[in-house]
Amino acid sequence: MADYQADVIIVGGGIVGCATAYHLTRAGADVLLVERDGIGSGASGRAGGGVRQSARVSEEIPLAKASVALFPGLSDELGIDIEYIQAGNLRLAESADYRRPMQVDVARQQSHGLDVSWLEVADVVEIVPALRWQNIVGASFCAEDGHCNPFRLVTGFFNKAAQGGARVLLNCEVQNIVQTDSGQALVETPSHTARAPVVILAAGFGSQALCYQIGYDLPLANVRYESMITEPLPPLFQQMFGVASSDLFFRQTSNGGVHFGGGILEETGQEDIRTTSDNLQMAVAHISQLVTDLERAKLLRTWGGLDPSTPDGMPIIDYLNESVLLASGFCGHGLATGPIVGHHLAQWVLEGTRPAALAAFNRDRFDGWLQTKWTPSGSFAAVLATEDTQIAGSGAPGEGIPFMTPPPYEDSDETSGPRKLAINPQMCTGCRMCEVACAIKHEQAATQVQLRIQVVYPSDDFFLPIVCIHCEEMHCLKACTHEAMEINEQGVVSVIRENCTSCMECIFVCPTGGITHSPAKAAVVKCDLCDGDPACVRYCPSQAITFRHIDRPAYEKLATLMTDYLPARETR
Amino acid sequence: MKAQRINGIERGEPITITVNGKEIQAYAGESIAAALLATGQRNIHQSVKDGAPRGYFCGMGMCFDCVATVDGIPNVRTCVTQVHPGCIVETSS
Amino acid sequence: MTPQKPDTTEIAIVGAGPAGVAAAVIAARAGAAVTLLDENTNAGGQYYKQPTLAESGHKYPNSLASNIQQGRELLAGLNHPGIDLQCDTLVWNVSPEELVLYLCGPTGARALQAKRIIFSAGAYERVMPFPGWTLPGVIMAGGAQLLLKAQGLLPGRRFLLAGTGPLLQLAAVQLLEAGADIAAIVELQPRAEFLRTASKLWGHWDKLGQGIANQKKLLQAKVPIKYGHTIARALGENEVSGAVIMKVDGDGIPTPGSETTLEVDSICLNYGFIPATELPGIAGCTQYFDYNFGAFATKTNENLETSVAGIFAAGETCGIGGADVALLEGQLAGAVAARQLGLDPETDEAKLCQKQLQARTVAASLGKMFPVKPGLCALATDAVPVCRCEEISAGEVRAAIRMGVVQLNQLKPWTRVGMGRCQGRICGEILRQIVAHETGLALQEIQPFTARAPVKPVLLEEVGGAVADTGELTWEDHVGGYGVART
Repeated sequence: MADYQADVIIVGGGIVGCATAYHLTRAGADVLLVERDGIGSGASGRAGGGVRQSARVSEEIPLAKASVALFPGLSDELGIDIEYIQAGNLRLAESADYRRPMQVDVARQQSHGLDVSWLEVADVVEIVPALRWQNIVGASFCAEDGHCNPFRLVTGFFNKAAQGGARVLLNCEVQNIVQTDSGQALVETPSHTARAPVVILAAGFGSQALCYQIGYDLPLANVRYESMITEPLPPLFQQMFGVASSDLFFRQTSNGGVHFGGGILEETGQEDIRTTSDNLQMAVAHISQLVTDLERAKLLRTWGGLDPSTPDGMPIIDYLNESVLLASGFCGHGLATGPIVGHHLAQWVLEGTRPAALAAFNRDRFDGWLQTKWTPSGSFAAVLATEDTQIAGSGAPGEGIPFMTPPPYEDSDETSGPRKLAINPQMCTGCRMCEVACAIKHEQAATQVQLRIQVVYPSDDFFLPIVCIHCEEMHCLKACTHEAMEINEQGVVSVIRENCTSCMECIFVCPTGGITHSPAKAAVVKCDLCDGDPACVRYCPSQAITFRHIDRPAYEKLATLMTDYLPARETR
Repeated sequence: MKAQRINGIERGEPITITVNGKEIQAYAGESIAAALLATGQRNIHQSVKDGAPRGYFCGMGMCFDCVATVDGIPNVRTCVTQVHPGCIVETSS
Repeated sequence: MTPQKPDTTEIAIVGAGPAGVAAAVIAARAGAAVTLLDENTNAGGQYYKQPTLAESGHKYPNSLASNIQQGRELLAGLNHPGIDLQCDTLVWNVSPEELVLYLCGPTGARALQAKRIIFSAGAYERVMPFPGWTLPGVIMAGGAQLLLKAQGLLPGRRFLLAGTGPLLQLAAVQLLEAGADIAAIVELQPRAEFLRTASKLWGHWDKLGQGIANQKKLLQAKVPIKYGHTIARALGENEVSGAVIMKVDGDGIPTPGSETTLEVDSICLNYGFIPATELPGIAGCTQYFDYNFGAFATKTNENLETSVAGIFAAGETCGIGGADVALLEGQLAGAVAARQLGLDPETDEAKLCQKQLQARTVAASLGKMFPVKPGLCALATDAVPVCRCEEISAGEVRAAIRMGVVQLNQLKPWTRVGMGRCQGRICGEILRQIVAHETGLALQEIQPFTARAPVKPVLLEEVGGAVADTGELTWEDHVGGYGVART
């Protein structure tokens, strides 16, 4: 016999667990909540406090919208002031590089019915005079976003659940979840066992180990950021703030402290809540660039934050087997979406059918993926799967990143001769996805090494990827005196690394900047068209780069463009 | 209750500091808290929530109960901050 | 923003009290370049606090004068070309991998990279809350001593000293000699127990001698010492005007009906000491529970090395021990650190180790004599604030404990305790007592608050200005990168 028998066992006392417990008890279910540490001890209690629907992944926008709609009523509903301030979210662009990508992103969000707009710097500063306009070029603004006190939100839901009759085991780590013959799941902790037909696994990063025991390899990494707060200050602003580079957020809490966080986002395979001086100083230096006179405020406290994250930036909410319902991997969006997710999870358990609102978060969406990982800058990218790195059970290397469908090739009239990279600067948003894709393909590193392809920004609204255009003249091949260049049957020139002496002759003779030197390799590198399937083409979201037959005038125009804008590379 | 400067202990140069707009006499080397205590001001900081009076407590800069605005910088620990000529102190109580 | 290269030194010592000074002197004499850092205006620490008043001609009362003089003799050793003493300098953060300390002081914010770091940050006074303990006029006994020593200031006329331990009697003598009137000393331990445990000091005549001399002076002045008593309440509207004391039983639980009201204008408290472990804590040094003093302290091996390579701890930081222990451990840590750098400190570390262990044994028996008793938690009735910074009452804490909280960090979502300016330095130990009292858990099972930078609040410009160029990160890295929105 188990020590406890319940209708539903919830593993994890964070926002998702507590909100779900609340909704279930309200519907009369017998709930047992099991938490390894204390309420809100994990990611929820370390959260930035943002309640945001803007700048979400498209599939998540409806969920975030529905959750934001709940927040104004939560203080009353929970009987605790959650310190919710709905004054809007500003995502600040700090350099011209970000203007186009963000404007494109604003359009994407608008197409999902979000009331979000692009503001020029004058409008931003009119809304928030405390910002340093000199360091801002503009911002996306969503007036319905806001922020709240994460502690109050989590404990508020927990209180209500406890009042509603939920039983609680705190400081009690679940070690295993066993499927029994009776169709019930048996939850084992060092001191107790508990049995229920349904177990909701909402343990954040802690879910991974439990999933593994069940036989599901949860693609989850912990992205560590750092949070800090100043001493209470006079009112500065009410909005929630982010930045385009995603490595800083800030808000002023209701007691006046400016709560901010960020730094270099690091992916860790564990629950790492360290704080480091580097991150702290970077975040402080960064926010000091954005908020006037903040350097004269005192830093009071720092703490480590956790974002248990999935490859596509969305949670996994799905049944793992008959009785275990997983809801984890909220990628730092759990606090904002937790209240609505709790509602839907309770509904799913009680009614037995998946709520339509959770359809996008099924676990098999990762099947057939390239293995993916978060990059240190917070962007994510596919990493080429090898037998060593591929996640067990998640299928063969697949077709790429789902929400960035590879563009269909547009055949030109020209159908003879080899295919080449065709670049349309009018369509380039400057997002640099091509740089990431190229780096992954060639360097197996998801960083913007800017070696073979490099986006230049000659002006605020003109961007151009500089890359080898595979000219017929082949200046580089002719210039090389060390037999370090070869040409294949498709006419693609590539570098023989062993022979390269870094004499740079090829770089000097190339008029279009198609070759760069890699100090790490002690050799020059250039585009090799990825054996006929260029990664930059595959991952260009705006189809600015295509791989096709190209006629002579178009090719010459491209060569001229490259040559003209090559100097911009120096100033980037 | 006025704290007493112990007789016979030599003091540094007299220094005038301004506390809440009023000039008070202190001596070089004294902490701001000591100068306040010597004028009889024990009540240095007013707590935020209930406005309760707070003052010199730990004396070694760990408790932050004796904080005041000093030369425009808020929440300076007066027990570990020395007076200096022209020093301007604003206490919240 | 251009990252600055950190300053460098061979041995960085944080805290210029007895341990830090002893370490600095021995290491510098061995030829090491030493940087000795202290947040205070003068070296000496709290124990050898030096007057910050005029330089010469002090006429301090006897008990203070000898202590000041001893300190002066010790500090004379700092006059060595190898020692860079930096006072008024707060070490607010540490990077354990690179052994970099982050400082802010008179010359602004800097980073300091060392080959060895010695943490000798001393201790804080332990205090237990009761109604009225936040009133101006209630001060810590050590805080009163500091006013006498450093400021030549007597903070009141008529005093009550309450708590437990030898410091109460010493402070009372010093206050007496400065002209104060002592209404009473209230000692938590019952008289019989006090004498029984004192016999463990047999043979340590200097310790016993100090105690006996103090008692003699108090007897002459007819100062009542109330053993087995506690302060129960501070009276007064805007400042202290009186105190209520009560008898306690063996568990420290106050006996109803035993209240006595004393007319006093100042109350000095001391319940022993707590090691200052913030920096070793941030550095990730392993901590251990010191049963003798009931507090967590930094763990070291016999050479005073912590669990983090290159970092030492000496003195109170690795367990309350008093000035004698601190002096010996300072020498030992300084000598070992210097030897590790290839220098010859001309000391016999094995012998120092032995002496240090002996001194630790004496300190341990002293510690066991004056335990904080669980009954004191009952004095903190629900309306009494326990977190002075965030103004959180004992009742709020107890409500959170009823919701299942058993660790200090778990209290934060419920109550905001320890989230104010003092970073839980005052309330942390109080909360451990209350949680233990309410839950029945042993004190050693209740972990202290996680140590976090900054050790004390620092201006953002000081944080941002101290960017150490330890290799890879640059401002360009920071603002570069394109990502899906996460913030």
